[in-house]
Amino acid sequence: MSLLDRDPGTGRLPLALGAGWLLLAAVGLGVWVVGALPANQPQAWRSLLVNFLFFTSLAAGLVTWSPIVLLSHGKWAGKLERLTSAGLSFALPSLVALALLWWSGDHWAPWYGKKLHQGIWLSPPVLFSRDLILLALFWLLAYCYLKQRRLGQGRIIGAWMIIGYCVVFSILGFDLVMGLDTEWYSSLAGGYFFISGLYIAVCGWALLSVLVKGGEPEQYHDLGKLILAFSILTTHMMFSQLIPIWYENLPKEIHYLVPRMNFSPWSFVSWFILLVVWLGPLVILLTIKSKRSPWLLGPISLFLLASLWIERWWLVAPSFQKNLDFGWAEISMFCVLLGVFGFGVSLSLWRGLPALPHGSDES
Amino acid sequence: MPDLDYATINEDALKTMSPPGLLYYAVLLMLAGGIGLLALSWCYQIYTGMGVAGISHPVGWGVYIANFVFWVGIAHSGTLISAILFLVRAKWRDSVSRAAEAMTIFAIMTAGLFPMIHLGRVWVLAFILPYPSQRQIWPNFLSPLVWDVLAVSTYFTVSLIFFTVGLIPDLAAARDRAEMRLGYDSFKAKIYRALSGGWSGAGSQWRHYSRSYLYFAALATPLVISVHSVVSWDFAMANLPGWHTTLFAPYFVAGAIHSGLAMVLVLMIPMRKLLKLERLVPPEHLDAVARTMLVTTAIMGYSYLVEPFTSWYSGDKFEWQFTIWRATGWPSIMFWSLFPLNVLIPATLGFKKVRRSRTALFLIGLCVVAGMWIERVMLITSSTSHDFMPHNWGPYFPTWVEILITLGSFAFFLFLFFIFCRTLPTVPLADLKGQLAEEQLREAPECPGPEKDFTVTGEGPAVTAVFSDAGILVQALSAMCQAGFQRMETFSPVKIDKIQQIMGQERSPVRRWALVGAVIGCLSGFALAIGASGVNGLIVGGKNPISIIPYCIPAFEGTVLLGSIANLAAVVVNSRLFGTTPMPRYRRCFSADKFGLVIACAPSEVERAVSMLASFSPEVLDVAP
Repeated sequence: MSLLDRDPGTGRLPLALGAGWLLLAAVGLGVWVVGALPANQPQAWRSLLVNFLFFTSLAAGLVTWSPIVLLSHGKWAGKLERLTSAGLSFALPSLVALALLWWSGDHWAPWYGKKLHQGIWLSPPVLFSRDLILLALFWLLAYCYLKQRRLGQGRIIGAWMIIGYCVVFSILGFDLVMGLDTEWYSSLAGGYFFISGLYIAVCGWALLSVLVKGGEPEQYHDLGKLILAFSILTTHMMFSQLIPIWYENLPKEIHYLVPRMNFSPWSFVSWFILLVVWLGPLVILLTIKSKRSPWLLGPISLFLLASLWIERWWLVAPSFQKNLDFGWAEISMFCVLLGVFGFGVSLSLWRGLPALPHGSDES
Repeated sequence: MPDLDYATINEDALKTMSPPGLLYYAVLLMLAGGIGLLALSWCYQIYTGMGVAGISHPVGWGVYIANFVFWVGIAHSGTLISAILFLVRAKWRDSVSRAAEAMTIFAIMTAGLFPMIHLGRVWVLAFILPYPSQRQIWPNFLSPLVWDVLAVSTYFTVSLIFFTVGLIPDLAAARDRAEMRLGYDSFKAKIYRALSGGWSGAGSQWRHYSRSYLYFAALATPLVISVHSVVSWDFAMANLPGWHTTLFAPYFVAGAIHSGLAMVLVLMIPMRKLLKLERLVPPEHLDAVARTMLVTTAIMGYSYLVEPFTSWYSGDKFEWQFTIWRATGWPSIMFWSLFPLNVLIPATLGFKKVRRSRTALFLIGLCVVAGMWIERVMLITSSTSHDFMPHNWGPYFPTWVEILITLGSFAFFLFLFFIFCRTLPTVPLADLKGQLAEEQLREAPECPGPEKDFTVTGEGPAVTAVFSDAGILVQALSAMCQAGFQRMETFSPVKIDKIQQIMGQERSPVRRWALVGAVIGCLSGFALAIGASGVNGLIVGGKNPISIIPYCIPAFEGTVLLGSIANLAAVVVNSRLFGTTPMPRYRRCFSADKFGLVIACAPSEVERAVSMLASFSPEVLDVAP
């Protein structure tokens, strides 16, 4: 019996698995506290930011896919839709991570001790409290949605949840990605952030589907197509942002692109992201077999997820450092949040995910 | 569609092509008058000079360019409904896709008028085409205007191919109906015969056709997004407040789809009533269009809020003063009307009662069409009117010439649409019938035995069985195959994927054609842009003549264009669509409401085939010696 067939609250997480995830998180935390933090505090805290941006996008995007499928009358997902609810298990860790980022803000954030033209908007207490409240409201909305969805309802709150996701993750993108360079601005930064978040989440959904062995080839095929569609959409968003900036070559705008595109070593990372994250799925998911076979779709999703982590790192790090400086800080914090995320998802899976029946609460 | 059968769908859809009444001709005449006004005004402008239009210093791009952007936007919903909704298997698209596709073609044709009108000296239009001329100067592929020409012409070509290919099975149905009712040599029959390319609905044709249609949809989907992105870059690449913003591409695309869907409502609601298509275009499908509009409404609302926010956030005093001026200066009437017309009013579609009222849908559609036209005018005219230097500021008002040409463009568009309504099938018959066929299909074992590339001929003995149910056809095919018959062909008014499965056929080779075409197109796009810049050898705007980032655009357009052309060639060659006569053993009822199974066998096998087929109770069972 697949984990997806389990009724809610009927199972228990195997001790070894739970302990494994927690051990990974504990070891990561140990390395981070003992090794990374004393060595370079700003980089260590920024590694928390990178991982927060990645895992929160993954978890929130996962939860958001359920109302997207529901509102578009998608029946293809079947019981695989239950997997999306596992993202809710990362609600509390994401809020804690954001609170920690606030607490440590003066070590890593560029908004302290400066008079910025954005005034109160980028003042750290306003920025972090705004982001914390919005993120908490989003998770609350997601919780209420899932509660209604279990009863076969949730269309109205689902619509609000999708809007909420777009708004909250736009603001997170504006604040915690665009705001890292206080002189740079792009009206598309928020849009890019939430669309790429859905791309991360659909890769995560595909990987989870393969891991629990609960899908049919047709469903894997559809998930593969969805990955392809969102890779194209994300590419479009990035290209739409890139080309007007490149074309006008204005100092206030181009200084975001120059370190990423024109100078090594970051230019190599940019090429990697271009070829793998944005254009890669067009090639690796071109054949039907690569989408229908769990043996291919699983590794491809995992590879794309790893590459998307690099993309999140690429969004943050070059604003602070000329060199790659990829080290224990990033790896250890990745292990911490992966352990927490993995523990939460496994706990949800083994205890039984809620059934998400299609009801009829048309508005 | 529980209360419809194949024959009703066929009749309902094709009877719209019967001779119209006087009122129709009166409306057509009125619209022709509108086109006449457009032509006269344009001639007057050419004769007198561009001074008769309101475009002058500082506003060089006025209503003409706004109309161009507006009509290209209207063109978007056709391919959205046809291609994107086809890929996501949204069944409701079937009833509105044909009208939306036609709307796309006519809207691009209307849009295409405006660059020519705006150009003034229309005879120099050829200068922008990339051909080796005696001037030894090639277009500058770094210019967004050249990207625009490539994008819009590719969009027109691909949409036209997509529209035409989608029409083929329905034109065959129209051909057969005209032949039966008006005679084989009637004018209509001749026209539809030529247009349908000898389509017979044979299994061997559907096999290639359905794959090809899928690839058209896959190629057209990114094209939809690219076209209005490229149009938006005409503005976003300029260093002007209000224009130079990264959000423009997705914002223009969403706005285009928003206005296109609104136009679908505005056209479909009267059309279904006047052409008596209520059964084929039920209220639920209009409801689905309205729901899709809710998505674009949300994106429009998001864009309207993000734009001023970024303007303030940037700290750029030019950007911010421009934003304030747009809300308080002469464009303020337009500025403040946008949110109500394009966001608040369509947001009422969130209520089921509104979505189920045809009057409300029609009025909301009108509001959005008007709102999106106003938005285009505001975006395009205000930035040049109020740039960095106060001494350069100045207002813009369209003259009577521009107003008449604008009104004439609506007449031009509606004239073409009215002609379409009476000459071509306004709903995709084959797709609608396909929904019925899906319900009839049952499980049937596969059989790897049959001759895979068998083509039915008029020679040798053959047994033909005619059924009225797609499910029975599939059962009969499977049984005959199990019984050892190897040379079989099916005829059907709809695509039935199951037939290909039972016959053990491989996937159609059209995918290779499309892939090769797309790769050649991509390389050609880069080669053309790099080659032309190499010949010109000019540094324009401080850019390296060979710049890969902007050349991705010609490469992308080349990919889609040549990919689509190769795909078209593949379906024409593989489905043998180069004649006017249907395949041997074909019957006219196969394009309407019947399914045929033809078994070619040795004379000694005929009796066995007949007795086996008889067990499936065919309506007709024929033996040809």
